[in-house]
Amino acid sequence: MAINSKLTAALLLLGAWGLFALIVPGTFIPGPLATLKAALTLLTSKALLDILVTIGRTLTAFFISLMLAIMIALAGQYNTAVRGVIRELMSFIIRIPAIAAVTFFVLLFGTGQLTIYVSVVTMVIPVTVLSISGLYETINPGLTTVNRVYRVPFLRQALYLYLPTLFGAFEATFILSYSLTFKALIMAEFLGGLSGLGYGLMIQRESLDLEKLTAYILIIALVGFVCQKLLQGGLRLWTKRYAAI
Amino acid sequence: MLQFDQVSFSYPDGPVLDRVHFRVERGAYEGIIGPSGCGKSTLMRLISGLLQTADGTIERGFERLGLVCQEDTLIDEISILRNITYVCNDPQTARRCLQLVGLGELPEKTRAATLSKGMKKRVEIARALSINPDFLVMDEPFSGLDHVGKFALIAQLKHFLAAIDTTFLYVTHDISEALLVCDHLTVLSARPARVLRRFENVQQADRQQLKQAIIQLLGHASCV
Repeated sequence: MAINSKLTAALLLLGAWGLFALIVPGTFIPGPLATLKAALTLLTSKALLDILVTIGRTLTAFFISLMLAIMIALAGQYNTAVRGVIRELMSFIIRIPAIAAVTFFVLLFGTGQLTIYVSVVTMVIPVTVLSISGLYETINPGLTTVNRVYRVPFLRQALYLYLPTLFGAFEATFILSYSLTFKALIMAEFLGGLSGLGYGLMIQRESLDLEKLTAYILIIALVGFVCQKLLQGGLRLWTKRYAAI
Repeated sequence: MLQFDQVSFSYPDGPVLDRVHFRVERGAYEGIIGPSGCGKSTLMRLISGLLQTADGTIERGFERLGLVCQEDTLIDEISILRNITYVCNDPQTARRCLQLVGLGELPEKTRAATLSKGMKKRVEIARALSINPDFLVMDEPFSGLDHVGKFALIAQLKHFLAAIDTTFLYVTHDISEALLVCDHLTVLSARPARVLRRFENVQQADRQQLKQAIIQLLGHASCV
């Protein structure tokens, strides 16, 4: 009988967690059952709204970041000088610690939506731009000639050339950008938000309710995982429908 | 249709073209022959506007340029039909062009990656024909093909060309290839390329004599 590796890994993690909670006093690490109970209580109250808010923000911030990053990376393909400036700028921003960037934007804009979006987009764009720029270098230069001679519209290039040719690498960039968006967003909500899962985590930490705090961590991990799988599936479906054979 | 008037071109590592002068009349089947590395591909890039020069003038009297390059320029990951609609955006035209180059029987969803070199060249020719070009340039299109495959394709090339009303420029280092398809030939020297001589109405000339004349012009037999 084939063993489902994902299920096995999840059961192993749960077992290790339960064992650890048995050894360490429950006041420090709540066990899986206590956490699940707290999570269910939270889901029937405020956490459900937090989940929806965070999912909405994640998707919005992710698409804004991805679109801007693609546009910036494209701008760099048409001019060597612009490409150099973009590379230096992105390489500088990428070195700024996320927590410093969020703190800076909290000082600049105060707590709220604007701080969250600006922080996330600022953190996600450099990684995505540098990854996408690297992808262009793997394209057959003869196809660049074809694009120019036949004046192929950009949308057609994106659908029939870039996506099918670079799909594997683009999917990796897509997942990398998404996971960074989600992590950055939770931190931005924690430090500069007034709603969302990150903000809820901060409230539970303030009240030192360990069961609810652990439940929030579990919910965040699950929401992050489910969102990634949904986006990844969506990208594959979309590519198959519009770009592939 | 196309005129090069005293065109020179240099890359940072040295001159490639030296006052090149030739003219291609509308509807002509023109050949440009020169030894490997003489600058024929640079010439092709100048014709297609991918390179610009301030030295000399190039008059382009065509609207739709079809191009078949030396290197493989199909998108391997998509179907042969999509490779053609990529430039013409019309599946019906793409199907007609596949028929024309003898690939009509092939399932249109066949991925380009699965084709042989010869078949890929046929798809590239179909792609070039799909925009109904009034000027078609082929730059060493059959290099890398085996001898039999190459001459089978060249023999069919005139049939493909007859299907459209176009002016044709064939750039090659191989005299035998050029003599099979071209009506007029311009011979270029080694780099930096200069025009050595132009031969008119080569289809009516004695091929052996013509080959000898070109070999003498170039100083060696590498172009035969």
